Amino acid sequence: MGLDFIGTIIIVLYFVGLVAIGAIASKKIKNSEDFLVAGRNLGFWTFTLLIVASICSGMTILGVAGLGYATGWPSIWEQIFVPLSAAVCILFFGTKLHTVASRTGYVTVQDYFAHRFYSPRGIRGTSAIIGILISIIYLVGQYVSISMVLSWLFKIPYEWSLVIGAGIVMAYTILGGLYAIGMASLVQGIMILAGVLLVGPVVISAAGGLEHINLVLAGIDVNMTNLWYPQVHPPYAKYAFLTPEYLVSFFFLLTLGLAAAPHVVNNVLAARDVKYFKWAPLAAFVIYAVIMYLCKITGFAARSMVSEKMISLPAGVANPSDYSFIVAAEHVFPTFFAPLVAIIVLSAVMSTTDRLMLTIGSYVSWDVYKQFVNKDASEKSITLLSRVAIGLSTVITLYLAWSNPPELLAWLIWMAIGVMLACFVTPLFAGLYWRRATREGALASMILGLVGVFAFSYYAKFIAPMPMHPSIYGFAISLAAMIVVSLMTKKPSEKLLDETSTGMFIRDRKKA
Amino acid sequence: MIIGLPTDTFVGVIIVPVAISLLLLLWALRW
Repeated sequence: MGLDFIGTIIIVLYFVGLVAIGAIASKKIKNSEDFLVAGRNLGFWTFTLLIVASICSGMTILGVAGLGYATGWPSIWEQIFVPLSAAVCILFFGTKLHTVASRTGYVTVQDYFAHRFYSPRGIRGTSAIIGILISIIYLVGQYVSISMVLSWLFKIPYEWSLVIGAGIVMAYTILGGLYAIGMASLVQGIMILAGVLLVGPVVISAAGGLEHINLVLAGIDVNMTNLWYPQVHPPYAKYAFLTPEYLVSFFFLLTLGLAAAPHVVNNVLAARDVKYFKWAPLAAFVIYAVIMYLCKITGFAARSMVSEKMISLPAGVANPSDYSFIVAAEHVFPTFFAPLVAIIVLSAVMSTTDRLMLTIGSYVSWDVYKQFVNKDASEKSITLLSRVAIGLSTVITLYLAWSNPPELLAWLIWMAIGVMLACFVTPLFAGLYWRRATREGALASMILGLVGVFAFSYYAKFIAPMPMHPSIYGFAISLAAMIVVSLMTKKPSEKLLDETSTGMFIRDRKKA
Repeated sequence: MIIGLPTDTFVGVIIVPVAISLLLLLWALRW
């Protein structure tokens, strides 16, 4: 009882600290640009950790260890592809978007699309609506991790833990906008890194060391110590789906899909100085890769410990392997594990949740309201509407998390990253680097990509399994649509292409 | 076998992140 009490105090203090960050940040909010893009004034480490923490979600910790538990070393590619998405976002999207935005004052990525594809309403509306919908789905997915952790560790009901977790994030996000999210990311990023550096090595040595873990894995299935499972379709076992072919689609899904995700790519507009884009790709990749390697190997260690009956995963839950990180940490830190694990996982969940909420808020107020409803909306009303939209999105997503069948939810979340790949990657790359890309091409690419990813995901889920992640077929359609439709339509004006620094270069040497 | 892993796996899980880090380092140094 005493330890529960101390653990609860630590968590409450952590929550109070986050809300205090929101209150401090709220004093910096003078206009909507402060609220939505932190006044374009985030420092190097805040910016770098904001990108990492936005991508690093609750499932990054729990799901990564869970996938490692289930499949072994072939899943290590996830630890390459996801950290690489942070570097791709900063380097290939961020460098140029930030440079152009410093002349034009973009607030969201829709501002860029509207400018580059000379479509103030069509592309902006399509991109914003898709962005809002997938952010809502993704947000519901984050709540699953919050409730898993809080209800497992503190034995409080699932519904309570949801409301508490979502309420705290909503509070500091509404208070301080991207300023608060940036400052919180700094704290959360350090907590995640310190936490896994502490838990990972201790769990690995408790399981008998890396060599012992690998021998146990090889004893379960020799392919668990290889870099992929043999290329057979359908796979010979449910866990053996990570074949070379599937891993190729995994690269596109994670590295490109996450890099173009609305809650990630908009962050590049908030950096104070374009010089940050020099070292930030390397810094983000290394920090994130260390976190993810340790989480994954903790999952391997948990598998070894379970097969040697040192620990056992909970029965009667839908996804027992996703509990492997929590259960393994509990085994090695039986006394103060609860607050420690809770802070690691909650930091990861909250740092993604806050950014998703703000994305919805900014798309609703800046892209939908200001462009379609009231063109002369004042600074104050934009900020107010963002805050109201954040509150409303929290209520809607809590309702969805409460009422939806978990199976459908898991399918929708799995598809949400696929939608990011099929809808946003092609327009971003083509817009930034291909002078021939046209408005019609971008619109066709987004809409056909969306239709494609839905159709193939439905087929893979309900009709017959496919050898690759269904999103890659949607991505192929979006790429083909961009090229074919662009070549059939009129090329944009040279003036516009020069204004938006379009072309096969990352940094414009002529103007630099 | 190195630490219980086939040599290919061991080399792969080390060399890929190191190679990516070197490429990102090259990007920074060419700035």
